[in-house]
Amino acid sequence: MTKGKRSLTRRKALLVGGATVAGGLAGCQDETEDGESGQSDGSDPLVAHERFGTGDAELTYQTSTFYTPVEAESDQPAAAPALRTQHEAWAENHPDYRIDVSYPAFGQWKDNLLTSAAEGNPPDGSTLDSQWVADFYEYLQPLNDYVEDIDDFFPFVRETTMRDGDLLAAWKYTGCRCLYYRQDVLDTYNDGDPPETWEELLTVGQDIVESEDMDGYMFQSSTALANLPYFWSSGGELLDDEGAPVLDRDANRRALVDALGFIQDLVETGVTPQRVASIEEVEALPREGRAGNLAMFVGNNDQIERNLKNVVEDDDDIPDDRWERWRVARIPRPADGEHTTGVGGWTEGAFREGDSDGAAAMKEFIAKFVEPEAMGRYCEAAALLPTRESVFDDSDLYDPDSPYQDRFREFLQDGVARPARPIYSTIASEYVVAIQDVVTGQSDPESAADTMVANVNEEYEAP
Amino acid sequence: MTRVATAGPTAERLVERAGSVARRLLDHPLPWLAPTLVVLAVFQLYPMVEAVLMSFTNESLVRTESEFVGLGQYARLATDPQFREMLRVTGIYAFSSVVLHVLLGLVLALAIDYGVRRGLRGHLTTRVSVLLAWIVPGIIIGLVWKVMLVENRFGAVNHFLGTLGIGPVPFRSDPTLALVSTIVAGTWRGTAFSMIMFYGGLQRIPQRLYEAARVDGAGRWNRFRHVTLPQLKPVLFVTTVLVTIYALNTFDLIFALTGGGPGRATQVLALFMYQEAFQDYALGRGAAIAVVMLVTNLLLTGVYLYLFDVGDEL
Repeated sequence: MTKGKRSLTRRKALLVGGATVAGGLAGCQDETEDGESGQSDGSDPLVAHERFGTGDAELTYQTSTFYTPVEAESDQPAAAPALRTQHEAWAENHPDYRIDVSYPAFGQWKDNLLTSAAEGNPPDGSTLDSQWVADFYEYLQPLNDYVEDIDDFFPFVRETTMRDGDLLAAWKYTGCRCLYYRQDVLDTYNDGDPPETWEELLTVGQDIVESEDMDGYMFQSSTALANLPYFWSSGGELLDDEGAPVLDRDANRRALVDALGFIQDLVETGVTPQRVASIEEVEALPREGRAGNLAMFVGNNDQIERNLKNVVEDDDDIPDDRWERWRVARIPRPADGEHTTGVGGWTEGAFREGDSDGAAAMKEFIAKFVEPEAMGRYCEAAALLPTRESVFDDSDLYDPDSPYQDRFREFLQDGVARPARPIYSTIASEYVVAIQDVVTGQSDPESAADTMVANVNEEYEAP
Repeated sequence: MTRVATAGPTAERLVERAGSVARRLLDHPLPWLAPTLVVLAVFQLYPMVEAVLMSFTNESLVRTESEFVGLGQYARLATDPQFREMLRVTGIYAFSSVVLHVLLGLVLALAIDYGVRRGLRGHLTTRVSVLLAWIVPGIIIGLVWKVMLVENRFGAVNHFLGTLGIGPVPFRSDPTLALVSTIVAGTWRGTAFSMIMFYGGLQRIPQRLYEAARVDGAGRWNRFRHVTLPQLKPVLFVTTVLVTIYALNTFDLIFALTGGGPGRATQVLALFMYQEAFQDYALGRGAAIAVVMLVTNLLLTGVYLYLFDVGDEL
C-alpha cells in the first residue's frame, strides 16, 4: 500500500515535470513562430531581432542593440525602421541566406571579437567602433568590389578605413565634438558670441565664474578624443606617414605642452573646476548644464538631441524649451591655430575570407550600410551625421529636423579622426593620464608631456 | 573435476589479490586526492604555467606572431619608474586594507561575541548587515561608491556634507582622497569576511581558559592579550594571508570607482595588468605582471608564516 502510494506520487511528479517541460518547449516554439529566434519557416518575417533573411545558408553577425531593426528591442527605436528597410532589401536579394545576429555585451565585445579573430574563428561580419578598426586590419576583408564611389567619403573616413588601396570597413555614420554654450549667459558676458580662442575662453570664463553661481567650462577628461583638438589646433601631429609616433619632434612636443598648459590655465583660473578629473560619462556635462551649473562644455554633436532636447531622465522641474538656450560652436583654438574637431562613429566590417557566395553575401550586407540612400535614411532618423559628402548635399536623402545639423556639417570640415594604428590606444590613454595629472596638480605641462612622449615611444619600440 | 578443483583456489586467490590491491589503493590518499588534483591541475596549475611561459614572450592580441624575449618583460618592468610608482600605490592600498580589515573585523567580531554571550538583541541583524556588503560583487560596490562620491550636489555624500556647510569634497579628483576613497570602499566591503573568520575563531576558544584567567586575577585586557589573541593566532594568520591576497589582487572595485585615476593615482598592479593585457592587448607584458603578483603573494605568505609562527598549528 505504501509502495503503491509512493509509485503514484512518482508518476504524478513525472507527469507534472513532463507537462512543465512541454509547456516550456511550447513557449520556445511560440517564440520561434514570432520570428525571434531559431530556424525559420515560410511564415516568418523577413527580418527579426536575431535573424535577417530566411534562407538556409547561415551567416553570423555581431552588432549592438542600437542597430537592431526591431523597434521594441532597440536602444535607438527611431532608427529601427530605416534599418529594417535596408535589411529587408538585402534579404530579398539573398533568399538563400540567413544572418544569425548576436548582440554581445558592450564591455567585452571588442576583446572577445579580437580573440576570436586571432583564433581564426570570427563571425562573418560585425559592427565595429571606428577606433577599433586599426586593431582588426589583419582580419578585415576588402570591400572595394561592393562599395561604390569610395572617393565620396570624407577624407578622414578613407584615411582610417583604407590600407594599401583596400577599403576594410564601411563607416556608416560619424559624429564630431563641439562647444556647447549657454546663449543667455554669453549674451551678458561676451556680447552673445561664443569664445573662438583660448584667451577669449579664459577671459569670458573667469567673468562668468566671478559673477554667476556656475562653472565656466568643462570637458570630459577621461576621453582623449574630446581633448585632442587642443593638440591638433596647436599644430601637433601624433604619427608620421609610417604610423610611428612623432610626439618627440619639437613642434609636436610644443603643441602638446601648449595643450596641457591651456588645460592647466583653465583649472588655475577657476574657469574649470578640478573635479573635471572625475568626469567620465559623456552625459555628465549636459546634466550639469541642464541643472544650471555650467555655462560651456565640449560635447558630442548628438547630445543636443539626446541629452538637451529629448532628455530621457526625469527633469520635471526643467521646462521643455530650455534646451534652446544651448547653442553650438567650434571648439576654441589657440590665437595662431586652426579650428579642429575629433570625429568618431561606427563602421561595419566583413571577416569571411575568400570569394565564396557566402562571403559575397556578407560583403553585400555590409556594403548596404554605406549606400547613400540607406545612409541618409538612417542618419536622418537617428540624428547622426553621414560620412558621404553627397548625402549631405541631397535633401531627398538626408533632411533631418535635428537642430544645428548645418553647423555640424561645417565642423566636419575641420574633422580629424583618430589615427588608425594600434599605437593610438597607448597615445590616448597616456594623453588622458597627462591631462588628469595636470588638472590635479600631480604634474606640470612640461613633465606630463615628457612622460607621455617617453611612454608612447617605449610602447612603440617594445619588442 | 580435477580442473574445477584447481580453478577454484586460483580464482579465489585472484579475487583475494584484487581485493587486497583495492584495499591498499583505498588506504592510499591518492585516489581520494585525485579528483581535486585533476581539477587543480586543469584549472589552476595549467593556466599558471601558461601565464609564466607567456611572460617570456611578446605575445599580443593584435599580432599574429610572437617571439621569445626571455626576461625582457621583467627587465622592462624593473626599469619602469611608473611600475615602481604602482608598486608604491599597491603597497599603500594593500597595507592599509590589511590593517583596517583585520582591526575592524576583530573589533566587530568581539562586539558581536560579547553581545551573544550577554544575550543582547541585534547581534544577528548586525552580522547579516555586515555580510550583505561582502555578498555584493566588487564592481557593484565600486559603482555604488562612485555614485555616492560624485563631486557636486548630485552625490549623496557631498549633498549631505553640503547641508553641514562642508565641501564639495573632491573624493575622486584629488589624488590622495581618491586613494583614501578606494581604501574606505574596499574596507567597507571586506571587513565582513575578517569579522566572520574571527567570530568563528572566538567560538572555538574554551570558556574554561577565561575562567582560569579570571581566577588568576586577569583583567579584561590581560584576558584578551593572554587568552584571546594566542588562541586566535591560527585564524589571525589565515585571515591576514587571505585579506592580503584579496587586497593585492583587488581590481573590480577600483576599476569601477576610479579607473586608476586621476592620472595614475589609484592604479594598482591588478588594474595595470588588466590594462596591459586587455586594453593594450600586450598579453606577454600582462602575464609578466601577473607573475610578479603571484611571487609577491607567495613571498608575503612566507613572511606571515614566519612572523606568526603557526607552522605546527595549521
